[in-house]
Amino acid sequence: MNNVNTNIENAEIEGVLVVENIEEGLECIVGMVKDIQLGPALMFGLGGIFVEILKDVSFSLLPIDEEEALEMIKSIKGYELLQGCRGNNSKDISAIIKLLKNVGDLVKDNPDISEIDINPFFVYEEGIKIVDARVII
Amino acid sequence: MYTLKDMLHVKSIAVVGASNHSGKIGHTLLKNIIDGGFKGSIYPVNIKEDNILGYKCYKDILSIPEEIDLAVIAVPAVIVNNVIKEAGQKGAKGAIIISGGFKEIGNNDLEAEILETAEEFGMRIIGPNCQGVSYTANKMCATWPLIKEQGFIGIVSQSGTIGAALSTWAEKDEMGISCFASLGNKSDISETDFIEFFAEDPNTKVVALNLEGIQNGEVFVDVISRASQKKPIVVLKPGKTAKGMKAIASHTKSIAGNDRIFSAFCRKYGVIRANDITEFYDFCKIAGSSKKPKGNKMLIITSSGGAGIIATDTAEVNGIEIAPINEKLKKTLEDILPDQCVISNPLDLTGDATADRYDKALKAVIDDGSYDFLLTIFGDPILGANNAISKYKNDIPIIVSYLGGGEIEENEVKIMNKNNIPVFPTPERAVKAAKALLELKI
Repeated sequence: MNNVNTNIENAEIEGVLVVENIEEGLECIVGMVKDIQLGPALMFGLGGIFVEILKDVSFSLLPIDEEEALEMIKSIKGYELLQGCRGNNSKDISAIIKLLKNVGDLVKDNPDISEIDINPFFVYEEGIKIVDARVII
Repeated sequence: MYTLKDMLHVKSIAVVGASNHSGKIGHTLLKNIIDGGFKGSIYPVNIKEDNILGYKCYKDILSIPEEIDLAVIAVPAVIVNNVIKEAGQKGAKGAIIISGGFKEIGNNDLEAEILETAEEFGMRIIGPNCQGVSYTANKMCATWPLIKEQGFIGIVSQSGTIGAALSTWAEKDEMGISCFASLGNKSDISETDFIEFFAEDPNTKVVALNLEGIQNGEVFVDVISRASQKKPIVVLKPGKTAKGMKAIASHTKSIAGNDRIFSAFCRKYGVIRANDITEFYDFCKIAGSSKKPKGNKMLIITSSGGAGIIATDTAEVNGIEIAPINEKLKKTLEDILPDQCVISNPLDLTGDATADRYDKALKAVIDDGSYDFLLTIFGDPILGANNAISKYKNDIPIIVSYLGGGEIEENEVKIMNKNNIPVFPTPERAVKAAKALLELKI
């Protein structure tokens, strides 16, 4: 902060954004879209190339219960990565289920929301952390 | 207001625009109603004719001496409204309007007009611009082609041809249909009316739905969620690409398109989704003739090693478990089967297998109880195959593939179709159909 004005004379500082430097986990995505006819649907997938290139995601119409949320998670091709493989431990699937259910509740309580991207969030052996999210009204 | 049920359980039909000229739709419709064996009164209506196909012809509906229940209409669009009015005055509960020339070419007012007239009399309308309806329980074939065989599939189809193809195959297989309805412009009666009707109709065991789009989403979801708890529903809906979608705001939306959400919808309510017309037919056949297996463990019993391998491959891809035979069952089978049989999964009874050998194997496997469903492949001309299956089909879901059996196969398959045994010409089709059963929630 102190040497900002030394480097750029006229710089105006409005504030500083401080964010947690979080440990990298397995990258995942959760989204929500609304079909004009069928209503809101959730999407789940692994992030990065899995969603960008391979489109390895699953969809479920809202509302969903825990069983359906688990089914969504299990039905992606990369599910083994969440179960733990190649020397990695299994990830916190119940935390993802909770996230899916919470996003479902959020959409139900706020009908103005038209789309959501939680992309990415990290899932760890215990818990998850949302890195970036966008809610479109 | 009359209901769709009233329109199908009719006792008298006026065919307006009936014709003596074969090749004209008005001729075909009247002929199919007659040849279909309709038991009620049939009244051809045509101002120019006195007699058509042996039936007295009337100048207009009002000249018919009795009340009518249903008008089947194939006259130019501009006079349809008047026909509806006369039908209403004669007590008709509904009209099937084959004629085109309405909303589909921009004549919205003309279509609104006929609806208004129908409403005055509480009449219901199927069409306009449709291929008609066949309801076999009432021997009412107000459509084409002529379908007589009564069966368990209730078809409601946006496309006349796809529904007619299904009906034709079912007729040829002597399996039959309960109903075939082509909806055309859906000015009044829509898919959801038919789905609700089929859900309660004692003649229908499975609902076959061919959709191109969904109009009233809320009603559609509500009707499907309830009907799917009563009867299996099989849907054929061509996929829509994301093409043409407006500005794509989110990542999620760009992946979703419309199609993946529709698939998710089907999964949620246990609706079986067919990818093509062949699957549409196969899945209807199996959903109406087999119960949902308790799990996904399948045993393949075959007389052909080659067909058994193909079945195994297809099962693997479709998430069906071809579980090994346990030691106890293995021992039992070794005791009752000749030495050349290969006791594993697939269980190969080899090329000289007889219906009796299948019978013994089936009994042992069912008594053992380790499997959720069976795929029985008859890969040779095996006489009496249908008896072996009929004997056990109530104990466990048995899916059959019969191939390479020449004339004997033809006859056996015919009997199986008649007895509601799900039989398919290739092991792949049989396995995919078996997989479809697992998608059901009832």
